[in-house]
Amino acid sequence: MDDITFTTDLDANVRVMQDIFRGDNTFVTRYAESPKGLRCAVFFFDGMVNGIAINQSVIRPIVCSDLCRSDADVLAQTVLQVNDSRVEPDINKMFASFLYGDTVVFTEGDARPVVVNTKGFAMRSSSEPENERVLSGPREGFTECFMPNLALIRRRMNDKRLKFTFLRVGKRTNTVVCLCYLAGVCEGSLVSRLRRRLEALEIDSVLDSNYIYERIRDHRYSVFPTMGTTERPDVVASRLLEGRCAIVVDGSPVVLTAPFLMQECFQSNDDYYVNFLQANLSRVLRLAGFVFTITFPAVYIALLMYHRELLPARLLFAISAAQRGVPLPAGWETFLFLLVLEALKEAGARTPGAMGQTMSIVGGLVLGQAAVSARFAAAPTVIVVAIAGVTGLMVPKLQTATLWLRFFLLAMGAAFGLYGVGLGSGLVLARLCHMRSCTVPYLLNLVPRVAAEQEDAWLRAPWFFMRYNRFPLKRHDKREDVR
Amino acid sequence: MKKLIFPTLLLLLCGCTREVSPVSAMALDKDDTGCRLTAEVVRQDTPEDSASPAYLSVSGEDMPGLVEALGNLLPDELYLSHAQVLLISEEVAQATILPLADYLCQNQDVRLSLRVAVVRGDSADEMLKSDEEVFALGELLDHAADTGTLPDMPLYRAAEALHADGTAILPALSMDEFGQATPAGTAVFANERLSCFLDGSEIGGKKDA
Repeated sequence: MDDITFTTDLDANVRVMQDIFRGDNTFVTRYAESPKGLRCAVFFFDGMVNGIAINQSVIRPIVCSDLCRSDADVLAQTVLQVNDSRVEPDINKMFASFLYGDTVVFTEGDARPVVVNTKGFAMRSSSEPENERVLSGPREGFTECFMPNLALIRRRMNDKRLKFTFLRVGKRTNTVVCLCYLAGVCEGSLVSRLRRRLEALEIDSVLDSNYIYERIRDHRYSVFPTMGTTERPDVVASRLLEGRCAIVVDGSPVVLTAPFLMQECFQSNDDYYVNFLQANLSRVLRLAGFVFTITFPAVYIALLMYHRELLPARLLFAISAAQRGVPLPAGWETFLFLLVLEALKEAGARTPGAMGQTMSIVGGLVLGQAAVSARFAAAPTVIVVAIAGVTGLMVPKLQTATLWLRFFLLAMGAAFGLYGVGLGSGLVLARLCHMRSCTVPYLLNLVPRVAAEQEDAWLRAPWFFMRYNRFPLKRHDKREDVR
Repeated sequence: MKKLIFPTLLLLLCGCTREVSPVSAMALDKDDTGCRLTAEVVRQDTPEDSASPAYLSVSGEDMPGLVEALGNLLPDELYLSHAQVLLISEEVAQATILPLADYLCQNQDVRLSLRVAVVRGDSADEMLKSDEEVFALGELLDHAADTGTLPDMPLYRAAEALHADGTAILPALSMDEFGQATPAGTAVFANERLSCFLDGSEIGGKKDA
């Protein structure tokens, strides 16, 4: 765009614009001329703009104007009747706005365009995110539209310290990305670190926040998430209050938050909207569910292959009887059935609507029963895999970790028995201890140092006990009591 | 890619296990060749079946040889970890039982909670086969130990007592008129050998007096 220049000749400017967008049938050029001689050219993209706003606020004021000639400043300030219009001498910024639904107006005798905010493309309304449903509490979710998403955040935080900083990422898509933080609560170094990472991105396109997520997060190959993702504005607001940064990406309903701690994997939105006793029980269940889902198949195989003496006698007889006649060794059998489980989950997720549910149920029940009847698999193995599958759904934020660790520990258990499971778990824990998210230790707060840090770590303290209103990441900030 | 090689290798190694034949109880008798070991092996072919006992006997000179010979009879792995009872006949008990106790204590498959009982009168083999329920003898001895009818002397305690001064007491069992195992007092060991039985009749004269 650097070699494009506009002149004071309106017709020449129109030709330049039409040359640039030749072949694009959504590109619209409209001349507007007043009886007194004011002559302008209006450019916009069909479908991206609010037609009523253009007619009433741009074209009608020009056509009805008493001026015979006007420069861009006068046009923007006195003729156009819109709340957001500006003279934009920077060609790149002008095109960025134009391509995003703004209207560009050239006037005879001025090379500078006027950019008018007339965005009016179709967007879906805010609804509760499918994968972050709550029993009670707010039901709003982000959409694919950028500014309404920011409005959803600001509406929850009437604080003048709330900052939205815009950047553009993606050479081709030129996507707007917003770095959002609460000044004074969020560490300045965190903001500058994230800004540096975003600015350093060498990327052609950003069509979703995951494009950025995988590039800017710490430990990019780790199975554990090191940046938070959410589609809920209340969650973003809560994380901003805790001193985190949020990254809102245009076109994506998923907002990233950083830093991200292990404890957040076990937190649910519901935890803060229901009684703390109920919330804590659920949180403990989620934690146990995660440990269970990654270790249960491994422990089962280890017990069956190396430590049968640890099984109660009658259970051993039942398992031995079930294993009799099954062609595959127990380790391979469990491994393959875990793969089948993942295949069923994938098929259920990809199949639309009720058909997906039916497929999961039919697949799970019929395949499991048929496999046991045909002696393809032992019934205890099917039960173990099913339990591991169900408990694996309890912590959706750790699904990737669950999937890989389950197989890793299964291999360790099959090769080295319970010692292998212990060794594998130790390696994972050591890795977690080593991990950091934006310089914050990943396991922060899980090891008690200060009582205040424990208020929302393993368990959630009742609201009336939370002295600092949950600002764990910046402890020296002046805080107000919530009482 | 290199990271995937390790788990793949581990998985490839994990196929080599044999099906198991768990032993629930054993009986040791004297015979012409030396000793005869009978094992009650639990059979359950399908999960719907109930566990039922099957009996295997081998003869030999000493306990290690007998256990090895017993294992060779089966295509599956002879599994002693769930054995709850070892019955020994009076003849076996009258010889020194310390080597037997030591062998069992040192065998990593055998639990130290194994209960050793002396069979009065009949052969241990007959008593083992008298009940069609698996673990019936183990439950009988557990219950008797709980109620104080018989001494609570699992293997490790018996071995400890024998090592200390060569004396020990072990539970004694006999067959009743219905052919069922029943508590029959205490077998007293002195100098690592069966010395006598005590059944309460010694106190205040004979029961039928």
